[in-house]
Amino acid sequence: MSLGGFSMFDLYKAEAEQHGRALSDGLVALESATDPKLVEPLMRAAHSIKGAARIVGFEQVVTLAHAMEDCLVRLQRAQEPIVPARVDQLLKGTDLLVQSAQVAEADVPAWNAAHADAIAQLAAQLQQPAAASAPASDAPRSAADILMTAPAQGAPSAVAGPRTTEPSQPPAGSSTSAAVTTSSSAAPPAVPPSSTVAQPVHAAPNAPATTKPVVGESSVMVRSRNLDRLMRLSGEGMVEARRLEAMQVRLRAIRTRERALEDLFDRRRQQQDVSDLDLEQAHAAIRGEVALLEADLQAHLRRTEELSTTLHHEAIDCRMRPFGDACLTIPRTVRDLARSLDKDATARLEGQSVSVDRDILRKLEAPLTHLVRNALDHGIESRAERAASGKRAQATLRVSAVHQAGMLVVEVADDGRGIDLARLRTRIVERNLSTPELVARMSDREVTDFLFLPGFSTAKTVTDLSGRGVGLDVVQTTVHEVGGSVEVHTELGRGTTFRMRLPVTLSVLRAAIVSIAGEPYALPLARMERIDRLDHHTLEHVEGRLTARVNDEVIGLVRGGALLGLPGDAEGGTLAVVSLRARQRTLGVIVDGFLGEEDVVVQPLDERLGTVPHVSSASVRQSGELVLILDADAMAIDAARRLDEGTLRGAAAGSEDAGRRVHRVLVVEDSLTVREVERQMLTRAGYRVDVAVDGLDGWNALQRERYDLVLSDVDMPRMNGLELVRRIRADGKLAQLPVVMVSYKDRDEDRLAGLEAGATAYLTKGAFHDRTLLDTVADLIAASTG
Amino acid sequence: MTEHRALTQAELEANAQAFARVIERERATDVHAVLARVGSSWFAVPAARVLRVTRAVTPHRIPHRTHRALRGLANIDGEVAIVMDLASLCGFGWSPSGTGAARMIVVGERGAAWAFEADEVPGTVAGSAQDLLAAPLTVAASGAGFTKHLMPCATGHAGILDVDALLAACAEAVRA
Repeated sequence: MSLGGFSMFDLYKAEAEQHGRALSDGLVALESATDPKLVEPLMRAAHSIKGAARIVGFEQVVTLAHAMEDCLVRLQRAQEPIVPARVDQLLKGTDLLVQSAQVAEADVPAWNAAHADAIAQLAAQLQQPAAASAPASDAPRSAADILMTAPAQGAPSAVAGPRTTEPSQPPAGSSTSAAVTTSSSAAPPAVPPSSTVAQPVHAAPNAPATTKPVVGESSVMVRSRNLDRLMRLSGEGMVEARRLEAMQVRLRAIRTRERALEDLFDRRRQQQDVSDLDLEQAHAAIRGEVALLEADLQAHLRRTEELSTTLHHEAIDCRMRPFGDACLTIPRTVRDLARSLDKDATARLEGQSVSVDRDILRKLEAPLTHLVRNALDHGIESRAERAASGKRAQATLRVSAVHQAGMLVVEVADDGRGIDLARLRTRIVERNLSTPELVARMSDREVTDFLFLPGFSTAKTVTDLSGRGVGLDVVQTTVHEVGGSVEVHTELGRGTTFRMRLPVTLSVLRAAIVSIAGEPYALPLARMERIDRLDHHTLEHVEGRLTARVNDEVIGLVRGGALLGLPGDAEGGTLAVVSLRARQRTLGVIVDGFLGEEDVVVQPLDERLGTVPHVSSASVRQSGELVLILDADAMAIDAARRLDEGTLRGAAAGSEDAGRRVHRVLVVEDSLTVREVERQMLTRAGYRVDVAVDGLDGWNALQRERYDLVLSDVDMPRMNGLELVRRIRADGKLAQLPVVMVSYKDRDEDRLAGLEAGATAYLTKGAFHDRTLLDTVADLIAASTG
Repeated sequence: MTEHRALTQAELEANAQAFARVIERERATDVHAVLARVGSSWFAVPAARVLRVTRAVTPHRIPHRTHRALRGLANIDGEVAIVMDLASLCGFGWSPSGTGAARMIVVGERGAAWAFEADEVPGTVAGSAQDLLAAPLTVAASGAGFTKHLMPCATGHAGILDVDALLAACAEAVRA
């Protein structure tokens, strides 16, 4: 039997998956809320699966779904209480239902046979009254217990401390079949009704995660609403195009009339009988036609413009998916993991309908799962610990998404124990990653950044520090890949929040269009603080530097043109000031004016230009005008540095190098503290040192200035050290420049990766403690400058 | 019905001369170029290398790029092109007159094109190799070396641009 190209079995699969997911989500919600009203949709789901299974001959599924439906009816009628042990059984059943959707049609009889016993036992249990709580570990275990605990052999006991590995998650299918083998030989007694506590009951592996259909790269899901609108808009486009044909016909008619008028003129010149009135009438007819055509043409232009704009937005929107798509499995993960760790936690999802670029959404899933597991594993306390500290018994794990100033901000926040920063500082020193003096001077942000070092928080440190290191380097890497950032906010005893800031889409960005030195530039809204219009006479000069009062703060100002190296800054009158923020400092950039806010389609800069400092890409505005998209972060960082140096206003003369040649070193390092230490060490040793805060900033500096050596960190936002050194080696002018990499990573493979990328030397940050660093720098400069 | 017979020697010679005139005429048009005026100088840009000639748009300057020959970027028919100043590359001063340059000549290959501003692009010109004159010493030796020959045109002589040399200089200039 087939329906519209789908077999009946395909339809069954679709139905089982859809209702299976509804059951899974609904059961988790039901357990938290214990509200019988929530049961009804679950009954319908089980009932639908039962009906579909009957049609395709999935008899075991029919039996199971029937038993589940019966059980749900009792829950709805409040004939029995909603308790976790019962929800476990229902979830177990749901997993089997979802699993059945993965079976090939030919394998149905085999699946029926293989699962007959297990399903019969589970069905029998579903008919029995449930225990008020999970069975005790020392109680006689029923087949169902074995069924449910089998995948979690070796799981921690109820009082185990935080785990150091991810919860066991066997591959799809294996756990259930293993469980069935075990249970098939066991007698099926009921769950002891009076059993109390403590052995956590493990649900099967996360069903939705393992049953996701494999989608090929070539096809993507587009909401039917989007597709309908695209179809409608493209249809309208065709209609508009045909209108032009009609206008062309009318234009030809006007030409004919025009020729007739010419004939009249000719005849008049030849003294034939043509009156002024004849001429005027002919001319008036033409003028009338032209006016009508002109009006129609204008209307057409307006419609076409609107249409193409809408079409463009709609096409962009097709790339978007709701954030909720990345959260489908979270409530279940939280529920299952919490129970397996004997913790009490619930997930709270916020902003599920927020639109996210599908590429970013796909990349987001892994970090999100990491952070959720991390929070449950290490952040959220045991029941006892929470009780002792007077907290609500049930911990909350909040996963939220919100569009904030053109960026997608995703947070994973727990109300758990928080991170003990004092102990973290101690640990950094113990692990010889820095000196006590340096660590003492580091900001909290710099200290928590250590959590993102690969393998920072392994084995021993996990328990000592409520180890937050598991996989966090992976989270950071993934977020950096899409041009985002991640940071940690923590309060001891109150909880921890991981905040990821990501671009909403990779192809279009919302930008303020400003005029600098007479030309338009786009500043991504996400990267700027604010724009203010200020009267020129309200600006103040402090020590010769321009300042303005913006938002009750006196901020330093630089002229946009001066910053970009372009003459032609506007003078006087009303000015617009764009506030940019870099490393806790606000800087105002004076622009000629604010031209509006637009969505700009990002076009990469022509490769022949190489890197252009402060410019990230180009775009063509709706008016057809070209606009350059500015890298606001780079501008702010660069401006701050050049202001410090005094070179931004051109005050510093370029004659410092006169006399003895002073060797110049560029330090590329994102940690303020380490950067300062390196700068001071090298300055004291007689070098002229410039600093850059990340690889891209460093690369821009290399485009502007000549250096004798580069000292670079490895892990940095925007462009890491490896990428920087690869670029240097690939550049004709810079290929021979000595580059020393300095990193906390001291494994052989890290060292090898650095040298393979093209580093001249690779030192670990321990080299600060002795002369290794200075000796290496001196040797390399001597060798390269002869 | 036509009668077939051998050609006489005289007829053969006449035919040979007629063919020679055809070949001569072919040779006579072996230089096709687009004429362009930049300031008071006329250039002949080999037509095979010209992608299009369009209305000029004011280029957008590129921050931190101070090379005199690099005018900036412009949207030319939906593509972002690098606009260069031919006069600066050749080493003479010029600024677009009045309201700016009138035309742009886009040269090179699709996807890697260069645009040059010109005051005037009146059309194409064809000529034979034998009509070409060697560039005077002041141009060939002390100039930028893009012009090795001159060809006659309505207004006098136009310098035939060596497009490969010109584009190599462009590539050098944008990285500076």
